[in-house]
Amino acid sequence: MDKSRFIFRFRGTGPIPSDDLERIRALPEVDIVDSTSRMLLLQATEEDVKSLASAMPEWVLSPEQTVSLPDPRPKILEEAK
Amino acid sequence: MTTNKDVQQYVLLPVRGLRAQGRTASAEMRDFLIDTATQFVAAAGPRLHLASFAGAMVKPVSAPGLKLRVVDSIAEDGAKLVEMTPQEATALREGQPGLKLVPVVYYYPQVQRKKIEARTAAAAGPKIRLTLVSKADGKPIADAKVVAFTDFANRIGLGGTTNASGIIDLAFGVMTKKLERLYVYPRRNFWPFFKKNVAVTSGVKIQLLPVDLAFTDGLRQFYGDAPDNAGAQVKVGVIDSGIALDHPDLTVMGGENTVQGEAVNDFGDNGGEGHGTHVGGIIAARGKRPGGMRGLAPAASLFSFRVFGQGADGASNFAIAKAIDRAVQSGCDIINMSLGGGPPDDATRAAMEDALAAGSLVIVASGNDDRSPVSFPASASPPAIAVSAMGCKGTFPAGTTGDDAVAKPFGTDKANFIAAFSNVGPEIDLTSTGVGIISTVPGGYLPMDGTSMATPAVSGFAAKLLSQTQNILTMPRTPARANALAQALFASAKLMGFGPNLEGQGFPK
Repeated sequence: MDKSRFIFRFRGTGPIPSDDLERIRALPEVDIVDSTSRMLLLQATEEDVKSLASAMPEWVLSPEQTVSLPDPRPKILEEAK
Repeated sequence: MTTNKDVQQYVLLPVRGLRAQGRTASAEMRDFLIDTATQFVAAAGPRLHLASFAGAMVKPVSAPGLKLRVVDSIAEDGAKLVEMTPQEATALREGQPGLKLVPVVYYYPQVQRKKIEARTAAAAGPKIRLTLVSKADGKPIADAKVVAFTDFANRIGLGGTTNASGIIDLAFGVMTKKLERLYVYPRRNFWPFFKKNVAVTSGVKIQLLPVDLAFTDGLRQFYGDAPDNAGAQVKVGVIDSGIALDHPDLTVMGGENTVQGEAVNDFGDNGGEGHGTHVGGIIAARGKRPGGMRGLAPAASLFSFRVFGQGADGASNFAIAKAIDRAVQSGCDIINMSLGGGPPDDATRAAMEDALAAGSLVIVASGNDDRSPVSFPASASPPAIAVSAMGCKGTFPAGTTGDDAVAKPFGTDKANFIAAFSNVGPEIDLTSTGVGIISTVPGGYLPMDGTSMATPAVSGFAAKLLSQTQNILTMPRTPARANALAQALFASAKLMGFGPNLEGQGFPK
């Protein structure tokens, strides 16, 4: 199964519990790509992160996705022949 | 004249859900759907299948001259499959902003298909030469984007960028006598150009109007020139494409680049089209007309959190959520996000909720998808404050892209309109000026249109308001502080006559 990137954000009070962090770091199939005081960017299979999320209710899981600048300029959908 | 090939199929449905029920369904929306269902039953019976549709149902609706055909219906107050032209679809969106109208999409197996090689075929045909020059001195204008439509309804056309001589050759495959629509977007210091039905001979010469900073655009029309101390003691974070650190009118107090793989301290402009620099200028530019540009809160401390990579037009939700966290940690009272689109995600929403919990107000653009539903993250309202874009006739010169944004309904003052490009819906909290707004860009100044411009107008006004309201400014950074600022902002808003789905609680001023 291909690995994708997911955001794992802590919603509890205070900083990320060190036990939670150690538990995630201990998973050989889950890579931590980036981190902040409230979030981790993980590279893993969807199955692995969903399993992780179900075991850690104080965290929310989102797939990494892209947001664009809202551009009102009209776009060409088909080039004129 | 409308022909059969102009008619397209759309799904007409409430903004939320498939049936007009519950809190978000207005009586007008429900009546409209029931009325179309009645027409559908009367003409063909409720079990009509698409294949048996005889084209007998022609339903006049509220906009004059508008007709739609109801092909199928899931329930009396539910979604309808309808047929109409793209022009009629635009009119319907304007007349029924509480309803969503989406083109019917067909899904195909993911097989490899040959691309249409239109450009190769076209290169051998006749060319139309467009030459861009300054209206002031006739000098050529290089590096301007040109978008020329021969069939606007189907978005068929050609585009490109002018060369150093201000020239672009558009190679249409057949002789084109008319461009249905022509748009020109200069990089700086000229107004963007817009014209319908451009007659084409061997060449077309376009004169662009130079930007005059003494001109009264929408920002100056509604807010005037801010005093030097407006926004003092307030920090505003701009989550965007970076802010040009060398612009003479801008002072960036700090920030961070949260794009993965790029330098953390590189929070200046990302080399794109200067979007973040424009947004930052509307909030807190410190110049003075006519030699410079002034934002709504020139004394505010401006912070740049860059989430768009070098040359990238997309930002990851991780970079955005991280930028929200960093803005909160930097003590930003207000966080401006002139971005959006894509499916809702829990990480961005959680970051906005955490920001609100820490006393920061997050103000977000509703999106520019031509009266479509409010895009995410603005649709997460609350915690977001969602902003639509209003225009005002007379605050942009004729023949500029502002003309293209004019659409019904008009406000109590008939010069005012909600921009045709603005997304609308029940999540809209406020509206502000977002058509033909002159602000800073790298190397100069540029008028831009968008909910991206209306949003910093609200953020700048909020900074000015907070600065003047000591009892909120001195509150501890808790949700109560952010809510108090939001309530003060709503209390300052004036209803402009568009209704809640288009303007929310009104125009703060």
